[in-house]
Amino acid sequence: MAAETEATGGLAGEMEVEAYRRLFPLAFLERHLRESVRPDARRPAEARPTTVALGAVSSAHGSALVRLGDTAMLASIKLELTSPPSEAPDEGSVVVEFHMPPICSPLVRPGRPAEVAPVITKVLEDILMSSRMLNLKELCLINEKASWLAYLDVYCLNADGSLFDAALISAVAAFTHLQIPLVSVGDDGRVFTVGRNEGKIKCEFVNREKRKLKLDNIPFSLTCALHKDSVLADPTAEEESIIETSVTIVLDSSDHIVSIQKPGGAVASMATIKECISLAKDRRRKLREILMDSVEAMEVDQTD
Amino acid sequence: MSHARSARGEREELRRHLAVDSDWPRADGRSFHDCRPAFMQTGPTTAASGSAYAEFGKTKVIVSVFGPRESKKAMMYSDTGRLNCNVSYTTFATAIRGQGVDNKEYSAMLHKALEGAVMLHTFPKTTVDVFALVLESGGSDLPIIISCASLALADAGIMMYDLVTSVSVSCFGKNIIIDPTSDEEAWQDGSLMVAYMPSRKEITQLTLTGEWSDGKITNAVELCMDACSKLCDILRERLKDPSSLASE
Amino acid sequence: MAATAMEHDGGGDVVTPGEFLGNSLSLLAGRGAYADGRSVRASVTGHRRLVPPPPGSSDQRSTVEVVGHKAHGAVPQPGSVVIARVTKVMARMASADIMCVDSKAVKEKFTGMIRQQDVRATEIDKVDMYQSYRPGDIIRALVLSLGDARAYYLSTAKNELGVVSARSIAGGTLVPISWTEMQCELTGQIEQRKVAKVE
Repeated sequence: MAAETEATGGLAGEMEVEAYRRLFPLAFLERHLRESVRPDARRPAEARPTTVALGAVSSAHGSALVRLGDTAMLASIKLELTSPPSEAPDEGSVVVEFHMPPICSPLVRPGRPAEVAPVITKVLEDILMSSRMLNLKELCLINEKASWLAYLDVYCLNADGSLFDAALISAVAAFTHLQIPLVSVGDDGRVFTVGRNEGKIKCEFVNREKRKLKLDNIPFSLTCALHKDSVLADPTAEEESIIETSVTIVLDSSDHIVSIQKPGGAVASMATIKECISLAKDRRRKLREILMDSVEAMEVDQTD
Repeated sequence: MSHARSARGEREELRRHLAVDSDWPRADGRSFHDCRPAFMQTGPTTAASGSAYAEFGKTKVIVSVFGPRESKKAMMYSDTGRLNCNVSYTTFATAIRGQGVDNKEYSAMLHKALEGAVMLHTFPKTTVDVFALVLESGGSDLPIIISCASLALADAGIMMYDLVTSVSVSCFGKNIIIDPTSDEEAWQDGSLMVAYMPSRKEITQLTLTGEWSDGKITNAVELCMDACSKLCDILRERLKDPSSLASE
Repeated sequence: MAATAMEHDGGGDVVTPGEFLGNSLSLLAGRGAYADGRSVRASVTGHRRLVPPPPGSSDQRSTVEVVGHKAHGAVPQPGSVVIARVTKVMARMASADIMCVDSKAVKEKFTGMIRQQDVRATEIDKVDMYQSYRPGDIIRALVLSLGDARAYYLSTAKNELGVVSARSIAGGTLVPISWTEMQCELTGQIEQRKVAKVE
């Protein structure tokens, strides 16, 4: 796409900046990139401020609210008792769904779900399994008799770009926060969960020790938008609407590549991909720190 | 299942007290005529024209307002503006995992509560969309959605005759309790919801269900109107907050 | 002191929808306010401002307005000057996406339409749409009316209205050379347009 820079004619002077931005979005972006800066004043390689708050959904067994700039994701995990399937009697299961409700973006309407939602659901599911963060055997309660079905629901509360990155952090944070409910067996042999209020009643708990999942290999991701020679980390919705090409790199805790996604767009050189991987490594370290800080903060709250 | 039976017994006893006694502390310590503390905030959704977040006890709601924007239903040209409301629940909003589908009944009731307050003639041919998402359901969901929507509309700068706030009461035997939680709603004999424009002293919507005697209805409506006025003061404070004004 | 504070933009108190601003016997309702029987109330959130009556007018009441902060986004109204991008050109009309209203960007685009008779002021039956606009052109236009269900009716029938920015067939910038012609910077080729005269 040829630069729109010159085509603005005599308009630029008389128009407000916001109007110019709307009419010539590519020219607006390229003017910034020539100074190595982006419309929101970030440097090209800089991701937006990220916060993680655990326990945002009081009724869930694990939950997290994540903000990546203005993009906000709310993840909730609810565990249900179920019988394990006969092919895998020693495993539990996870059902993942990513939602974009109408509140989050002017592009979503009731009854007309966002096209990108099922794509993110699928990729999220794939990454959580292939990164081996989750060991489904840990979700088994009593071999062949009882296991956990974990419903992971991630809701986008505000869509401003890099939706997958934010969704992944929120999912991972929710699993970190997850506390498996206490379980007991009744006189009739039926297994049931013991609620928080009813803990005072005398019960034989089946899983008193095993309350948290052991999470190895936590995956973190970074999406970069590619435009000519620029690599823009963590794009906003505006940048994503202008730039067609993007790459998402997912790394695990040992910086091994879990996945590289480059859905369509222009051809990217190996050098560019390597640059993205390097940015993703830096990002992974930062995200891990943020996640660990929020876990510590929660533990401090709990001991109060 | 002895533990389940004793919890049920506790609830039965609470319900008996609520129905007979003149003022028994409720499960969360409130007296019959106390509303839960209301936490409200404008602007949580930057993608929208206006938005608001409301948290009353365990009930948490976000409302986004989009528009005035082009009506998608192109066959319906109209001289006045259109107000389009939609309410949905997250799958984890209630104790039993929901389907996450739209609540059509609440969408229609939200529309009725707001349409009298919005100046539709100020945005002809276009639509204002009001979308609500209940993050967690802790009782009095619809009244809270209505108040939150009114705040979001004001945040979006949509012209209105007045703000709308809403409160509901449950009746138990001879008693009325205000702003019920979901447990209280589950055991109520009847309920009354009022949506009110406090400066103009006009009721935009009134919904009554269950068993009520005449005298009780009048008391309940007055109680609601008074609570709505107080709640409206909180909304006005939020709108006048220097930090929310500075964002323009 | 109170009077001077209210003369300045944003100097008055902040009011919210429904709040009482004054009595209709002594005040007129201006922007952001409405009259309801005896009362004048605010209809939006903003600063309360008093505008004195125009000198020599029969009605000596001041007008109260609520201005600033929370007004809703730009919406096309009859009389608004808009900037739009042409999307389709047909034999008798052209469609355009309205992007700015009165120099304020819209949050989401509105659909506008320029009919053959509204392209220019003279010889309107001889207008050739394809020599007036091409898809992708940026035009300045006036909103004639709310139009129909699909589009606002726009007009470029004034000197200062018409194409303000365009690309040539070769992909270069078109520079205006008369009110009907623009020239490509790259190839020198001349193309026909209804050009907006910019002083």
